[in-house]
Amino acid sequence: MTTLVTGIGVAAPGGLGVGEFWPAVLAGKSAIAPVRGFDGSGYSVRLAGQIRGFVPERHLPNRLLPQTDRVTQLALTAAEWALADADIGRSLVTTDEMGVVLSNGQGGFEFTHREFHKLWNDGPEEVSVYESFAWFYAANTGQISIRHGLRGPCGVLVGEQAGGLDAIASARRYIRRGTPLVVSGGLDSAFDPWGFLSQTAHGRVSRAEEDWAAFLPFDRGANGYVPGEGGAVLVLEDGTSALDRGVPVYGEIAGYGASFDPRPGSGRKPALKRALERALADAAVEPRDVDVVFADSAGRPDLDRIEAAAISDVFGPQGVPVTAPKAAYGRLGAGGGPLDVATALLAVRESVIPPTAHTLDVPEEYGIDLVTSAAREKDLRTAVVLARGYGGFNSALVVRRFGY
Amino acid sequence: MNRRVVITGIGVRAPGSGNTKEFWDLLSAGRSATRRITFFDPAKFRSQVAGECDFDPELEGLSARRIRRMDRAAQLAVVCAQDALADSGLDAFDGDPGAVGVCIGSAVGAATSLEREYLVLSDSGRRWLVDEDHLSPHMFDYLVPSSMAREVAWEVGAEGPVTMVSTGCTSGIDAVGHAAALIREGTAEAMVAGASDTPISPIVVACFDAIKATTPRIDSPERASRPFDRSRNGFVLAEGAAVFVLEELGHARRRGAHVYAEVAGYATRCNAYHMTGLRTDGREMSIAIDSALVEAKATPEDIDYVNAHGSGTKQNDRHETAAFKRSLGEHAYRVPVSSIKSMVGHSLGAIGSVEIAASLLAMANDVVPPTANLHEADPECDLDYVPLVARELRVDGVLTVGSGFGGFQSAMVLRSLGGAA
Amino acid sequence: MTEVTAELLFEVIVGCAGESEAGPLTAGSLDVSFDELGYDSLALMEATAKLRKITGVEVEDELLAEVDTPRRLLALLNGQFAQA
Repeated sequence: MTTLVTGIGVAAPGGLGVGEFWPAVLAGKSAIAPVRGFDGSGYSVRLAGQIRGFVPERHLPNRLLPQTDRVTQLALTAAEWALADADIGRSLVTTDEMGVVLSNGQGGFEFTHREFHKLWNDGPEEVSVYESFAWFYAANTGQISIRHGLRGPCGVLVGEQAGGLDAIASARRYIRRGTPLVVSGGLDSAFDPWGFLSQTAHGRVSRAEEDWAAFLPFDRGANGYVPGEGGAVLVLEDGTSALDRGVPVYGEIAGYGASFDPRPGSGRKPALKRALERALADAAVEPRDVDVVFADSAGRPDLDRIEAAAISDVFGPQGVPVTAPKAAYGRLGAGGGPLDVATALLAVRESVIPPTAHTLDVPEEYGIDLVTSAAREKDLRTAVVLARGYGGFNSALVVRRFGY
Repeated sequence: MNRRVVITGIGVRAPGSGNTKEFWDLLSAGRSATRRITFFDPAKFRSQVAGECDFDPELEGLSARRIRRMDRAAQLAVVCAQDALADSGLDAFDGDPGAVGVCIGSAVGAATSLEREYLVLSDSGRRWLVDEDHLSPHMFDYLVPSSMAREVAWEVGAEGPVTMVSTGCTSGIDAVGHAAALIREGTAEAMVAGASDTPISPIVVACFDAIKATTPRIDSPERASRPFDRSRNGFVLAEGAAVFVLEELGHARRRGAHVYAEVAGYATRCNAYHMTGLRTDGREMSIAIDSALVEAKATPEDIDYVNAHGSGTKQNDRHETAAFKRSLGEHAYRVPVSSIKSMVGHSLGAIGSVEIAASLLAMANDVVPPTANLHEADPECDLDYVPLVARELRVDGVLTVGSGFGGFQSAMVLRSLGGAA
Repeated sequence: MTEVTAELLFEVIVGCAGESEAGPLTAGSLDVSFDELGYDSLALMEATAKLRKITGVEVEDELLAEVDTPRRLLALLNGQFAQA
């Protein structure tokens, strides 16, 4: 059974909707700016990749707004776009059989921060009835299922930045076992003061003041990443179902692999390469068949070096073009992987590799051919997306032009 | 390739139970361990009763450094994983650590640590613009709860697929179901899987107060959780954890491991109805049960015991009763059905795994745990809920189910290897 | 105990649970079912909790579950509710 992507909905700092996002990513246009929504001038981290101009009232019924956090509003909006894109109204199966598997790692954090504030300032009776589900990691999956009447298999996976690829793999697993269509992907958003500060606590975030200096994956000057919000929702569909109804196909989810890094100090090797090899084996493709790699791109020399080594070990030194479009908008947690998958599908469709914004000086010893400065045109058939979640989670996904 | 998945190790921490044996002693005696909340003063809250674990991470042997780093839910998950590994005899480094994975479920993750850190960062709630000077280096781990799966993976030495499942109150079934799927498809040979939740914290108590899902009963706390009883009026919030070792059958046999049961069937469905409400006809839970039975190639008659979600809310117990009738037909009236939430409360995402542990022990002991505090059944709940007293019975096939906010409905069929089911 | 007016009730409901799916709430909405207006049991729970803070009026859960229109909710809030 083939798993095809027939719909994409994007809510990202670079653009709301594929139509806005794709040209911005191709141009490497920076969406990184001083954090907004509160006075962040007293914090040591200043920059964020936030979505501009999202007015939930324009996209969602007013009734849903009081019971949802921003991340759920973004997820509902992206899901609606993805389902419209896939034209599921023309589907031969009913929504009763369609599933939802998403990743979310930070919950409805801004919403819950407000409720914490009410609880501790005004007492338990002030806490909203909606706190009981607006906060939890499963809110997006549940709300999307309800809004669109999707009654098939459901799921929520958490693996920080790797979780989004795990969710897509889980959706693919359901499709292989007979579910005709699954809404998948992932999103995160936590840009209230507490959420923002929490995202910086592990010390991997850049303290730079200028957007061009903050997130430089694989650059000699890499000094951390910029936290961002949003992600992507994809409609995954069984090949027979998609072909029967004759909808346009973005591409195929062809392979997946996951691994976990041994605990620090164990003396054992990082496991990213293994996830990559598993994904290639699962897709039955050889390294030479891969045309581009969308890197996880942590933006710290120690972590970039590990990823560069895994890539050059598998593909050979300078063996495959590598890119990190997220350099323009930040790391989106659960949304990062699915957004890279969406980008990879668009890249394969258009045969063009979006650039890694800002990065200019890649150390020779990394042995990778990073696409910097400008988009590169190339005939693309197969792309690999890598994602690493804080703590040691590694996932790799292979997407392929359909019919190849 | 027809790969079968079995459970070879159990670790559990629940109210009134510091280990697997104490857990089973509590359940088989029909004793309830819910009590007035001691973790904070509950006087201002509508619901003041909970299932708390008498859990001391230091006595359990966790180092001071790990205790500082880990949220309480992660601590519970890690000690359960230690027990499960010891029980099963699995050592990731005997074979390929890359073939061993971890999947941990949790509904509210590091809720306890989030609230503790919030009070520090916000000066007890006074500051909206929280204070960076008091930021814990572990705050990211509390924000993103997959840190819990990481802690277990480090404990196990797993280098295969590691993830966390967070589908609210069905997380504990879904985490084990997800792990079983990974083994069945060949991605892993063994998975350490289970769930943990420690929600006895003011914010969680307050949010269930607001929605009136928890019982307001404050007299005789051990009698507060009353699934299927006419007088039930909400669930009792609890904490707990259970973690298992799952293996491919051949893998378990080659190392001569004791097998508790096979994970024979599993399914989960969204009801697409309401974030908290349930349709009275139990349709989606019934579809999940049917799918789990199909995967297990089992008939209703193969089920000797139904471990119910039985939360003790008015709507759940009726919804669930309807679902059992829909899926099991006449057999629903014959098979014993019970809810251990009457004894250990409802530990949100963890309870599904805690209930799998109860189901495995019911099979191991051929005893069905009772529904405590069930003195007079709701007339609309007219099945055999095994009131008050455990029942000796040959148990080879168990159906365990869960239902949660978001509309999630999950079902799992467990079967003993030698059994007829 | 303060009398709850239709205007106050509508203002609180919209504040707690968003605008109605059936357009702006007016006197004409008083006998339209909450279902049609798009307000579920949670919306009513949230709204009555808010009204309790404003007016001190306490509503029993069992009675709230029986209320199906704004007019009946007003009657309940103002102590004139007869069980159907």
